[in-house]
Amino acid sequence: MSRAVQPVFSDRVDAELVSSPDPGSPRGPGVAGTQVAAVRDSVLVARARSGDHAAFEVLVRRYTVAVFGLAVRLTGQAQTAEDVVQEVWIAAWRFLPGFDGRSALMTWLYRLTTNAALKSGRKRQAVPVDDDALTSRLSSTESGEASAQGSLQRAAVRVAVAELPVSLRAPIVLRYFQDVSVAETGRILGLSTATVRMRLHRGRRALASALEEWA
Amino acid sequence: MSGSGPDRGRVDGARTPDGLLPCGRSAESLLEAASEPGTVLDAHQQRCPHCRRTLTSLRQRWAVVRAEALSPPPVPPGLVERVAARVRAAIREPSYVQVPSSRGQLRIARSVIEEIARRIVDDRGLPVVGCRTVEEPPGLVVEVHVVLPYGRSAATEAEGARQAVIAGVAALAGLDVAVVDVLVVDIEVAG
Repeated sequence: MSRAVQPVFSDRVDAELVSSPDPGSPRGPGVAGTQVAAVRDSVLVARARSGDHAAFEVLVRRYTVAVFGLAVRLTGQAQTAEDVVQEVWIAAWRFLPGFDGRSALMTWLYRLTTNAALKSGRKRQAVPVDDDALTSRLSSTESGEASAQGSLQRAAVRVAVAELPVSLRAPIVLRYFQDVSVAETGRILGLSTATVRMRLHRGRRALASALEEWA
Repeated sequence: MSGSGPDRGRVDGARTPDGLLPCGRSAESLLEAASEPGTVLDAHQQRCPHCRRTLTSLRQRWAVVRAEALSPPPVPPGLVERVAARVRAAIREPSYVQVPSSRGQLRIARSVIEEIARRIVDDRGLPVVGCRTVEEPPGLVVEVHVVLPYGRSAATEAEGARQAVIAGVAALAGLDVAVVDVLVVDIEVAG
């Protein structure tokens, strides 16, 4: 199934502005000290590990929206999610020397995101849904009864997800909202595949029950 | 599917008191087939009208989840620039606070000060969702973002948290906190 977001479990290559390590290399017009280059995540990670702030910032810019997407699904609040994103990148910079590259960069970032989001979520009894975001979504460009119904249905999904217990919300969000495999979900959450499957089963059951009236 | 029938609240639309479909199968086993692409139905599930009807219903229900999953959450305007700027500042600025001493240095990471403040406020029953420190006139500033339990006075809680953070950071880190800003970012209603 196609998604509106970039695939995140690959070593991405695309054009970015990065600082040029080679004084003799061609530079982009009007951008002193930088060049437009196709840079793989692995190259950026290696540079960042050696202390290259510019390389790290390319990663920040490349993946902040993806990290935010997971964080907001887990926390239910845009402001909290933004704080989580910031926390994730600062932690990523701090722990980058220990990132051995055996797991994909996004798997590692998702692990940091999940930990940070759940840590923030433990402060609350229940995670509220961001009313502003909901209102924005409900009054967006969609029009007509069918679209309004669709928006309400999706809002109901967000509420149902937010009301899941944390132990079920994380695997459900990773598996069904971020398209992460069961095995990868287990690696991110530090759980066995069997435990992830059991939690997905319970989460699906809770979601389906909550959404019965919308079907 | 109607939301007002006798089966409302059940996952499966089961008809029997023990939660099974009339064919004797658990409808919950069909939920995985409805949600996980590529799940293979067994021979019974393929031909049983009860299973097929339930599966159709569950697929309709799960389609709502898929629709939401395929609709990325709205990204706040300026998010990437804001995050990049904050991260840039955080990883480039000195992240230690110097403790005054005449014989040798004692430097404490700001994250340690933030964790101390966070725990102090948390222990007062005021959930902390964020904590930052900055050094600017008149000195060390601690900013805590809290969730206010419904029914408690924001002003009273903030003053209590302020005094506790100043005393706690002085006792544990030997630092004078000049300002404690308390931001109430949410309210928590019990139950």
